[in-house]
Amino acid sequence: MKRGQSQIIIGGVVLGAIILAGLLSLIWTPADPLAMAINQRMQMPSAGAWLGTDHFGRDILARLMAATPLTLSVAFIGVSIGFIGGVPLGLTAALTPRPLIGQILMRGGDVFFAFPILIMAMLITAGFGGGAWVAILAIGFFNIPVFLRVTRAGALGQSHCTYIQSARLAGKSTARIAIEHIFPNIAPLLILQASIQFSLGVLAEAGLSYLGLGASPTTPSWGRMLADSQTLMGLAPHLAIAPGVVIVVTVLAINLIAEGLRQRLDPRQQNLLGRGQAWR
Amino acid sequence: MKKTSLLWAVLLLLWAGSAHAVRTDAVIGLQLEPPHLDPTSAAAGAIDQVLYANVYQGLTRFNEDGAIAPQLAKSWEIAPDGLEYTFTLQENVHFHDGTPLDAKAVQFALNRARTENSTNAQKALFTDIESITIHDALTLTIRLKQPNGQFLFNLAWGDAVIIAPHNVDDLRQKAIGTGPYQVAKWVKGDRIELTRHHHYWGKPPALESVIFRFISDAAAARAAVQAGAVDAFPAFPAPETLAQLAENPAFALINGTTEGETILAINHQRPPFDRLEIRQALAMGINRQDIIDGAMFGYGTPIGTHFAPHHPAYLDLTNTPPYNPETARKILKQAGLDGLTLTISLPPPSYARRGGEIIAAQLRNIGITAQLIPLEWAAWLEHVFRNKDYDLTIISHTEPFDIGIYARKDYYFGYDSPQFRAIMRNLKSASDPQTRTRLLHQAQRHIRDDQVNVFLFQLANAGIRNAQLMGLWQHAPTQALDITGIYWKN
Repeated sequence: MKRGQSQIIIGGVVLGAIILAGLLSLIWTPADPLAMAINQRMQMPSAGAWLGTDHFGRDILARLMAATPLTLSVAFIGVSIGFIGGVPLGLTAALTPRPLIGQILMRGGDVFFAFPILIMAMLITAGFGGGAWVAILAIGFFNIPVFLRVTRAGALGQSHCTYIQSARLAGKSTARIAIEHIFPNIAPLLILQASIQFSLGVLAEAGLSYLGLGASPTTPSWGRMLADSQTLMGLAPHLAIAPGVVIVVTVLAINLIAEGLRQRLDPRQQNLLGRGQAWR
Repeated sequence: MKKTSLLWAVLLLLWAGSAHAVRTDAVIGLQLEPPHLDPTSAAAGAIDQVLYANVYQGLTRFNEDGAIAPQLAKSWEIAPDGLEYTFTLQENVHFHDGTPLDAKAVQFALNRARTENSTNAQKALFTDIESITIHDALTLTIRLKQPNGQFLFNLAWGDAVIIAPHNVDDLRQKAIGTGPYQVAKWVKGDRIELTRHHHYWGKPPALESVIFRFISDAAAARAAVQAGAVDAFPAFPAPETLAQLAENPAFALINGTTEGETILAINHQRPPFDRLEIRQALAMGINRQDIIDGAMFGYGTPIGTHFAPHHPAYLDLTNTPPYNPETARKILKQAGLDGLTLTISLPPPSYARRGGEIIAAQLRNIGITAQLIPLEWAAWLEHVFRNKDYDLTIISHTEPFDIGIYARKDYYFGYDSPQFRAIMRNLKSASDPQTRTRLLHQAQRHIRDDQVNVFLFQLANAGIRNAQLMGLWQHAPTQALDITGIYWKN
């Protein structure tokens, strides 16, 4: 078996199961995730409700499933914004013949990087009101400088290789070199970074919803389920445990995949990774 | 051996010391912090909770059961025509800075509250006053424009307290009153410390100092109670944990009533809510008991009109219209409003945030999609209360006997009924108890018939205290937290 393969398989199976459950929730859930039954609140897990019911008597499993598409897509779209915004900027910063532009891009990235996701989300909420897209934008903006740095570091390492120099001598433009030669060669690095950022995105979405900065109160959300059950820990711990376990397992699965990917990258690029550590 | 016996001796001493030294202080938890210290210019209930009866006093006051009792006025005489009230003041009353209280100070405070440019939040309480005449240092007469059966009640409000005339420019920062406690220290964002006023005219309180600590987060409030960091938390923000806390014999439950009518307020200025049948459909679609159980964990009494159930003139109208989602859905369908989308603005308390989620689920059953808009207090006051920019909102009206707000034309729900205003006018001039009760019944029915709002439940005064801390009010007849009578049992 290749290095890292077992991690990728285990992580992939778990994440696949979670995604499947989320997709399934679009057409079927074990119960209506929004239907309340106050007289049956905080029930322990049973045949009728596999994970029990919450403080309004709603089915916890149904709500966990219904929250999956939102959480995963918020994290995915957020990271995509970071990727699409950060990678071209990083390539420009690394390859531009004018050092001033590179400097401006990097310092600009530093300024963005100084704002934690939470502050970003609070700023957006204060200016434009709440909603799931606040979380998307906050995660997206936060990820732009992350990809900017990783891309620039990777591209700088490549730009001194002989094949790049020969491409230059052959008369290819900088833009073509960036797209045709450098991007494919740093793609594994970027995919690895994206998977790490994705797991952070899932955590960030849960965190933002927990603080009431994410999805609206009626929308099922893992983070909000945690927040709602906080004062009920003593009475009905399963209300908090269920979403907590789901968040941990999801993040773990994505991290396993990322770790497997890292191990499969060849040694030269592993070195390169060492220089491009921009995530946190 | 020597060492162990010494250790025992020390332990014994410590034990004896702790067992016999009765604490002379107490820490009371409050969810909201006052924005400033001026009870005469703001509607913020937190100001009265800290200052009413403890620091500031009025001519009359509310007792725990809501009855009116004399305070700075020792006695009064009412002229037979009901137009003249002659008050005799308590003797030897001093403000916290040592200046004596006399009829002049009372005249000043009441005149200040009723002048044209007064910023008093309850100016309507004083509109009937025609003139205030001083006879001597301790007697004065207030003349009314018309008989007002509620005048002594009006004077008991936190907005009618007697302030020190020379402190009038510093009211927001400094509280100089005549009460048994004075404000010693205010650590903004954390606590207000009250200490005993040593020249207090009445019965001195048992405790040397009382600290109000402000904890807005429900989980933090519970942790503070459990850790003993607060000794009592009336109006506890996490009712769901009360039953569990009360199982511990070290704690005792506070379970009483408040004057808080909790309503789903409707903006009459926004179609389709100007139509009676739509408002009735909303009322029929809402199950009050589910909201009380789900949002307040059972603490609260259903109401069918804007009136406190413990008031003698209360009418139980909770079953009219009865809960009937099918009929509600039919009405909406006939009105062509199937699939109506609306917003519910929610202030921070859990009755609103949790209640909003439950109401959204109930409205979903009658075919209405409700979007919830959580708001902080400042934003709620601005958008909903002042700018009337909302569809529905959940709010508890905590002033005592406040059915009169339905006579205010420009009030935030935009209800305008000349008949109701006529009832209120009659009530004001009526002093005969039977007539008053009849008019109050009429008023309660009128706002129910017009379904001005959806009346949900009477907020309970549900909280927790150290089982040894006695003398706290069980009920909250006004937004006050009278701590002048609290003491430690041993």
